[in-house]
Amino acid sequence: MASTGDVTRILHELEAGDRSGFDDLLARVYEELRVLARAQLRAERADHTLAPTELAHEAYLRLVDHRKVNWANRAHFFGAAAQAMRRVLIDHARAKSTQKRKGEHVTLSSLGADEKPHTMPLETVLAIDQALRRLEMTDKRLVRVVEARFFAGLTIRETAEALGISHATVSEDWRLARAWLKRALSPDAAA
Amino acid sequence: MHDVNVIEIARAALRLAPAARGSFLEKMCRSGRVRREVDALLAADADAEAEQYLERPMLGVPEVLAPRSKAPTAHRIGPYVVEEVIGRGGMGVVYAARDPRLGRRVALKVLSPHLSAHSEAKARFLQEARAASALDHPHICTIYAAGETEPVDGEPGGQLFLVMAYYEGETLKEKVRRGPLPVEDALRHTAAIARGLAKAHAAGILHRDIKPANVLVTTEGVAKLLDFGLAKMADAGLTKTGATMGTAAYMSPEQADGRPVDHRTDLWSLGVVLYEMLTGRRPFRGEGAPATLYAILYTSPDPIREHRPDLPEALADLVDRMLQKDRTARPASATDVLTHLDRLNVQDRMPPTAALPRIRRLAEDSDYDAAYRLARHAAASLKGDSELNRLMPVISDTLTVITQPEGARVRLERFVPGRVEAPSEGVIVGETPIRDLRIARGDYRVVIEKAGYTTAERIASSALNRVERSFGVSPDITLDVRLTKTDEGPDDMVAVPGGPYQLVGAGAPTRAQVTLEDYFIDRYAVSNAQFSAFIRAGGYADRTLWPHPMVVDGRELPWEEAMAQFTDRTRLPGPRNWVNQDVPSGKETHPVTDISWYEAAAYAAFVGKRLPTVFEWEKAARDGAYTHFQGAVMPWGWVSAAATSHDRANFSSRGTEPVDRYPFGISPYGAYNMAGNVKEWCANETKRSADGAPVTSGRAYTGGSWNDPMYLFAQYGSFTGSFTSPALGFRCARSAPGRPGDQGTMCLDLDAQTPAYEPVDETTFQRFLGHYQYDRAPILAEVIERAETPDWTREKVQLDVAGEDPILAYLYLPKRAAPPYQGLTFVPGVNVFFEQSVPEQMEWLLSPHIKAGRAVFSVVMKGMIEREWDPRRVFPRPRSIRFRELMVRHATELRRGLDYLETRKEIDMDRLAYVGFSWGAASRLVFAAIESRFRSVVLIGGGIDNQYQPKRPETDNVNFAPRLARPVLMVTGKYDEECSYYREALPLWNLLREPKKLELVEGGHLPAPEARVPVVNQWLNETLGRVEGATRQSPHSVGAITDSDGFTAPRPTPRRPASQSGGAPQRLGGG
Repeated sequence: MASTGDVTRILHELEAGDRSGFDDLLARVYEELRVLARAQLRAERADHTLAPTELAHEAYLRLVDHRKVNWANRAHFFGAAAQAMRRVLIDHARAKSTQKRKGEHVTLSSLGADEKPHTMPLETVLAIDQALRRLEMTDKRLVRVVEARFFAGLTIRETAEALGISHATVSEDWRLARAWLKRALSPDAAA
Repeated sequence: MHDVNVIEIARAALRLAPAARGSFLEKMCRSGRVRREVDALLAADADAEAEQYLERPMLGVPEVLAPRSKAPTAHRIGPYVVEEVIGRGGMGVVYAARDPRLGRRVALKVLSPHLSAHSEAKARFLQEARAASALDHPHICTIYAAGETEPVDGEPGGQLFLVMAYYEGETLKEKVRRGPLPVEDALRHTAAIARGLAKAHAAGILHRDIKPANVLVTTEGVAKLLDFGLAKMADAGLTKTGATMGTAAYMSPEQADGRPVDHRTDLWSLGVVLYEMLTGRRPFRGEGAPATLYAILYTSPDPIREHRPDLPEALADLVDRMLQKDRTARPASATDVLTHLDRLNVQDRMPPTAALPRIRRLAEDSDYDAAYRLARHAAASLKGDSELNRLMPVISDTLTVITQPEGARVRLERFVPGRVEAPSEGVIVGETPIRDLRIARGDYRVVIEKAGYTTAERIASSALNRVERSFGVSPDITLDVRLTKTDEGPDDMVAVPGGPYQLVGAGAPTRAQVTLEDYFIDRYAVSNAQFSAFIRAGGYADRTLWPHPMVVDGRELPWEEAMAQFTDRTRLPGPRNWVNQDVPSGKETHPVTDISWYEAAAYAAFVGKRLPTVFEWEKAARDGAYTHFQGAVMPWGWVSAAATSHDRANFSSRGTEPVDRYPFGISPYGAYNMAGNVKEWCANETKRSADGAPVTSGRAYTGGSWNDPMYLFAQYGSFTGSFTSPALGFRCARSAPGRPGDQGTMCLDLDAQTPAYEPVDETTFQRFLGHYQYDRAPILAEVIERAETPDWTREKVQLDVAGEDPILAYLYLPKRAAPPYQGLTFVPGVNVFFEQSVPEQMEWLLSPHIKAGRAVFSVVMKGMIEREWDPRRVFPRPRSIRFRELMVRHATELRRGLDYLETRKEIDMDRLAYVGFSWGAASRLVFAAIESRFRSVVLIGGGIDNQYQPKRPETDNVNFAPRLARPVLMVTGKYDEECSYYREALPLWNLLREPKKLELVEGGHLPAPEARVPVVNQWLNETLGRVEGATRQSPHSVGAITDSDGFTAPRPTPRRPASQSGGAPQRLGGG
């Protein structure tokens, strides 16, 4: 596990404008999220699900010395965590998919205990990822917003904080991204 | 494929109403393809909105992450046969299991694998479990055993588990989820938990993780506390103390902050649970654990009666007390909580007065505006309520405005911290006379207008008004304003009534009382634009405007010769910083600077005015508002915090600002920027004449500038009349029509005589020392912050001593030298209490010494920024017992710091120096005298200020200076106006014993680094030894006294006229 000092230092560098550590940060957060996800699942939660927001916050607590960081540092962290979370989820979905278990569903559940888990076909999850790869070529920011909102479950406010853009822009981007994904995934999509 | 254009057009279209989109798209889409794509995207948006597409986040890890584990039913854990899962939490899974040996049902808690990682952690877990299993109490869930799983069926084993009593029932978490509990139930459960806690605490065991999920209520209604000590056991497997797996919402502030905890952490958490049981809401919430931790550490919960107005006040108070961030303010013990609960049952219920606790809370947070608005709202239904009556004077003041003549319209603008300019026109509150108008406590700008009269501005300062008044008495702020007819007084001046006046500033050059006649003083300092008009009108050529003999470099010059000096950069007559007689670009409204006293006087004569005397200036600026806290009474009132003061005056160190800025910083008579922006010339001539030294003359100035610490506002100084500086300007005065007067145009003797002081005898002194008796204590030290620069590593250290407030200290370790380091213990200037943090000041003043290879250390003492104190920051009077107590406390804190320093191997404790600046050199000499660990002492800007601040003898430098057993270096600025050479520095020097050295250097209270650093370095080299890589500079101070034998009174030569560019202003002050 990365020491809290390393990650905290990278966050401070990011705040000072030094982007060189971002990939390193992404790698560390990704690694931590995977470890946490595995550990939690081994603890045999009956529904075998984990809330990514919870995971991301847990990773934050473990990787970052919260007494040495400010809100900007925290924003950078969750920005990276959103990207890393997408990778974690998609990697596993893809791994599962290659096992050719047609019709396998991915269980999704929300934090609220009273909400029932709902499912989304593995293919859909992977298709969203594919579509985002295309979108990444034209509008990276929309992709970051989708990662934050859909994959990491951040609120509008948290997303705005993580990406350093306004609430209004996040709302607008999120709406556009959803429309774009809806269209990209529709059977009659042009592309 | 969509392209950026498509997305951006769609974005613009979405901002429009659907009906307006058609024509917009018609214009925007240059091709049919783009139009089709945009249409498709908009259609998709409509669908996505309709079905809330992706609106629910992918809040789950796909189950493909791990294979669905074997059904736990056929499972065995140790000897126990697992039956079913009955719960899950951050720490692991709880199973119902059967103990086949005893045939009883048990609950098995298997800890998450990552909590079972290390063998050391395991050992600690088992040890804690054994301790907890010893607790036998009806309200504590019994722990039977603890163990470790065996490898089974390819599972690796090694997971820790606890075996506990099994109860039928449900946890409080489940109960609370359905809504608030009846008060009786909540109180019964709380009492049960408190009883359990009392037992555990008596056995020295903390729970550390009280939360609803850990309280099981059996089907018989008996509360059982689960997981005793488990948090600590779990902690054993984690790297961080605070960040346990459990939910953050119930953590105490000390847990959240990673500080050591005691039994009161459980009382806090119980308070959170009680709050939640009563309201169904958690008191501290946030999105995500960090936000929750933040809320716990820094926010106040809603007063509980906002959610449950029916609760008895005593219960609300109990919850309130349990949720005090300062654990010493919580109930002392679980038993204490029980006592309160018992009392509740017999207490009568109060009428619903839900607003009151909130008002009280707002008042405690100093949000008087909100508190008062709420109170006014509630007043109707709570008429006569004694609590409200008690709160009213705390949160509001009454304002009376009387004018002569009556009938002036009054507007009020409330000062809002953070806003420099007046936010609005304010609120018209009526016409004078206005009597006893109740207003929210705070500061207001009062604008008084009447046709035919000059508009008057005043500050109604609650803070100033409340100084030294006790609470409970509603202070009445009274403004009595004599309006000036527009044809009687110019509207660019404010009227000041005459009367007897005595200077009150701490550095006041005279105690004389003069009788002032009514006069006017400029509302604003003279601006560049105004001065430009004077130049263009030929002011520099009109000899009648220059009647004063001109003294340059101590020599009286013929007019022509002197005038040749008063030129701009292009050698044309004008301020030294101008070029080609042009106002510096963009600075038309800034105060004119870089002009000599003679030019200021000539300008004043040109506009039919004159320079104000120091008496006129001070009365207009602060009118004798005096407290014992020297110099900190600003024009607008009391200095509370630097933040708001910086919204009211320019002490920014960034340069001048427009003369009409800071409407909330006006003086009692409505003059702007008398504090800060620029120092201002006054009319008075000055002389220095002490001890037979040759008399030299100059001109007085006061007011402090953008380049000074705030408190220099109240100081007086003198420059030779030809001196100029970018921080020195002026404003004019004029006598009221038909009221000419001398107005105190006396020559000020700035040095007067050097007083001599008599220290007490040795026996008495030994008795004084008794106050400072010091006992070492174990210190728990933690580096809580580390910052790196190329030159040093800065560590912020928290020092905890049982029963004392945590102390903060800063240690700077140089990077350019190798340990062990010589250590400089820095005791800062007084502005660390309100203006500048200790590290800010240390880096400002001592960085050259760190770069030279010395370590620097300073203790943030009680009351300094970063350490809490009375928000009013009232300093105890120097003759009070409290003053001594504070002195002793500070001394103890400093010594605890030194104790800590001894544990740092990098520091060579045999080479430790005391470096005091200003307050540290003048007011806290005691520290250096009572502590033998200092091997050398440096006092910069030090002296004996007893003429102004007579002190208790056991805190008086007069008695301690002669007992300073180490070599002492005094560094004093020749123009020190805060701690004058003859009046204060020399008396201290005379008291010190050998070896000692005095360096009298260029500069003011805080001499410039080039004058100060070399002499200090040389001294440290001599007394502590050289440092590898230290700067090798010989002192180039002026008039240095190196020993008492060779002592001749140094001659304070007047400062040379500045160079053509105006020269670098001396940096004054530093406290």
